[in-house]
Amino acid sequence: MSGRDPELDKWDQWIDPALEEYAASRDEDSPRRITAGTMRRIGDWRSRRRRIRFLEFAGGLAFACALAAVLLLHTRSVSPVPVTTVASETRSAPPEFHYAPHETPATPVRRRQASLVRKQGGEPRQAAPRLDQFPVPSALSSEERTMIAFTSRSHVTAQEVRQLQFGAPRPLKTPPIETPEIQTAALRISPVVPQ
Amino acid sequence: MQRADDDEFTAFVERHSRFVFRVAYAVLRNSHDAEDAAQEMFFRLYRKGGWRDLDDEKAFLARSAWRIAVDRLRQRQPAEDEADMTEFLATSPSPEQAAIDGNMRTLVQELVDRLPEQLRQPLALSAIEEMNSKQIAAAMAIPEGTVRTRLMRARELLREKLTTMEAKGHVRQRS
Repeated sequence: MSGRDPELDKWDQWIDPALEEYAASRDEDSPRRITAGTMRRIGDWRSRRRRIRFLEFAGGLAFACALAAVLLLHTRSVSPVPVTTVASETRSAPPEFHYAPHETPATPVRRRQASLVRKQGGEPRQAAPRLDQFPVPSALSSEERTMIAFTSRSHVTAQEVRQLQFGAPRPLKTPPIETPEIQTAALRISPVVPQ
Repeated sequence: MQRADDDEFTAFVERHSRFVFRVAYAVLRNSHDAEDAAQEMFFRLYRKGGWRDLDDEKAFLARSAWRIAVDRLRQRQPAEDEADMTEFLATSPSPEQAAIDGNMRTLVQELVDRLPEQLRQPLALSAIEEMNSKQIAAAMAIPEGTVRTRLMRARELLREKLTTMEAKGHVRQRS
């Protein structure tokens, strides 16, 4: 420091305290106010955050309740009758649709096809009637017609139909057990043939 | 647990509030604004957490306070600044008047206030205790060499002005 101007040293010694005073707080209460203000801000922020969290929780709860209510209503609209009562009630038979022999149920596809054919100037093609919709010959007796209608609607084999039609006896798998009590009961219930 | 945290943070604020206030004041030159900036800095620090794990507390606080103060300075309305400056000029004595009054400390403060901002701010920060040129450079985000150059230039300007005033007889010779 031998080359340094003594005037500069003197200047530094004079200016440094002046600058320190310039930088110093001119308000002695500032630190106290800063501390109090900072803690107050933190308190406000905390209460605001608690309020926001409560609102978020309440909103979530309300949303969950609304969702549950909607789901419950939807479930009720789908099956309004409780499942436990369905079993106890007599189920009604499904509705039967009776079609004329030349008619078939009009499905959307068939309706579209018929509409297309009509637009092209032709007659709509009629679907073939089902097996149970064939006309029963009128020459048959009512018993035979009933028999044919029954066999066409049920799963009966051809052999069984033949047996039913021609009265061929079906062999019994097990011979009948005839006890005296049964014979007595058979005699007692046998019809009285008018003379 | 929260009560202990609050007590600890209150002690932390009390320990550093004056330093943070000075850094903010060096930029804003207004006590109220500097207090607001200091409060905002401490509040942000509390919200983000991690105020216990600071490696260099002074450097970190100086940098944070500086940035907040500079942001506030930019947000100030120009009209408000002009009004403040008009009021400041109307109420504060001119350098010549301060010299006539014989208050050399006031004169120096007036002259520092009239320095260009890029010279005044590092000079004000350097006057704050325990802030060296490295910390000032970190706070202002400029190279350390630039800080030294600006400090030297600011001191030279102050010396030139005071010497000129002494030569003109406006100021008594410094003792």
